[in-house]
Amino acid sequence: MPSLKDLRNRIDSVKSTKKITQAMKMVAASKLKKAQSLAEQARSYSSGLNSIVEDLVDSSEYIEHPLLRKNIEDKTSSLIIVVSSDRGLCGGLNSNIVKGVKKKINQLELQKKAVSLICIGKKGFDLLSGLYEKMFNFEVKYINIGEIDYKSTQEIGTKILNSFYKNNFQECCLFYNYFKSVISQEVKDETLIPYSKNNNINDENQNNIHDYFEYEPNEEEVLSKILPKNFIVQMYKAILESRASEQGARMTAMDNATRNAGDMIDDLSLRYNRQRQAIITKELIEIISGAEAL
Amino acid sequence: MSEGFLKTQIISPDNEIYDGDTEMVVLPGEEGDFAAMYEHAPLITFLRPGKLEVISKDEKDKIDFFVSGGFVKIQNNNCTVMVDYIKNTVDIDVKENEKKITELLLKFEKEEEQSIKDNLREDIDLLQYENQTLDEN
Repeated sequence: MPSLKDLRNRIDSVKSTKKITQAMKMVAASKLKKAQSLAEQARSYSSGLNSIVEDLVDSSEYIEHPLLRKNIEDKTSSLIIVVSSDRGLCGGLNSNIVKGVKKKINQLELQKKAVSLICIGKKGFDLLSGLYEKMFNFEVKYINIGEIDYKSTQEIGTKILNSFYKNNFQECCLFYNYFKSVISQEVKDETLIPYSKNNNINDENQNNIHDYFEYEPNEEEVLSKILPKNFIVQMYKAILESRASEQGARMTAMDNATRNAGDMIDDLSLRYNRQRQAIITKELIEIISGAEAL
Repeated sequence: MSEGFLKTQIISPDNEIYDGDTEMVVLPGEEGDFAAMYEHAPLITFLRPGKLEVISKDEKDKIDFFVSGGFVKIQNNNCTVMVDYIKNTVDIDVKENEKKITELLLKFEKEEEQSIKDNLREDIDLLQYENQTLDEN
């Protein structure tokens, strides 16, 4: 049975843990607001761009572009971009992503394809590099997600596209946490190259009557400008979604931790008081029986 | 005034810059400036760096922006402008920009790595376009 002092120490340490988790929850909550509004802004931009690409691809089936190529037989290697967070203590966020990635890698390996990995966010890299060290064969292995803005996304996106044009890989998919709400995030797996239509999250515009667009200067040129752009924007969107998800997940995780710490303190205090009472009773019995003996 | 309005939305990856009913939007198209009004034909095109003018529906407000390039989609009297970089022309300071340009040019001369050089070049071009846009006014 632990002594009174031990119990007191434990209560103190749980109390300070509770303080930390509470503070982290507050911090996450305030960061969440900003990250969430950014993610929502990016959604309108990316879905706007996506709808243009969709219209283009729909209206002109004969157009050829490397990013649209769909012939399956010459796909020998693929690139996976994993968007995770930089820090832990955010519930199952990173392990869910890693689980999804592992599944995908197994699938691709069964099809005898070479796989390359790029991580955006340090945690994903930490978790994956032990298992698949050889797959990090791209010039950049991981980037901290906290340091990325639109400009650096553009840089890294262009690097990836250049590597694609050099035929280093033939398909590319993106794993990230989609920010559904503060308490729920969903792992999304999107194929960025070749462009496929089912990427779309917004299905509401599906029943639109098809308009015939004028393209200036012509369809090919618009397409060749917009496809690389779309790739970068989808990446950027994933990063912002992931950031919002991280804060949301951390907030809920820390809320739970605070509650658990509270329960633990109650439990420990009860034990502490019982033991204190037991000691007092024991001493009283000793005194009384000593007095009786006289 | 026409009988209808063009609903205009200007968005950048980080922000929504403008959302409202407009009488007319003047856009710096790749092959020349063009204006879009109510009942414009469906159009998809991209923009060159230049001035974007928005005239609100009661013709009271006229806002000028500088854009670095982007895409436009006009359909059903909705005009969506997607831009990478946008700045209200009121916020552009020509002298400040010139100072920055000279600084960046110095850096550009000294720099040896090609990728950084390219980045600097882009920044310089952008500032120069900004100043050109203001000069036209």
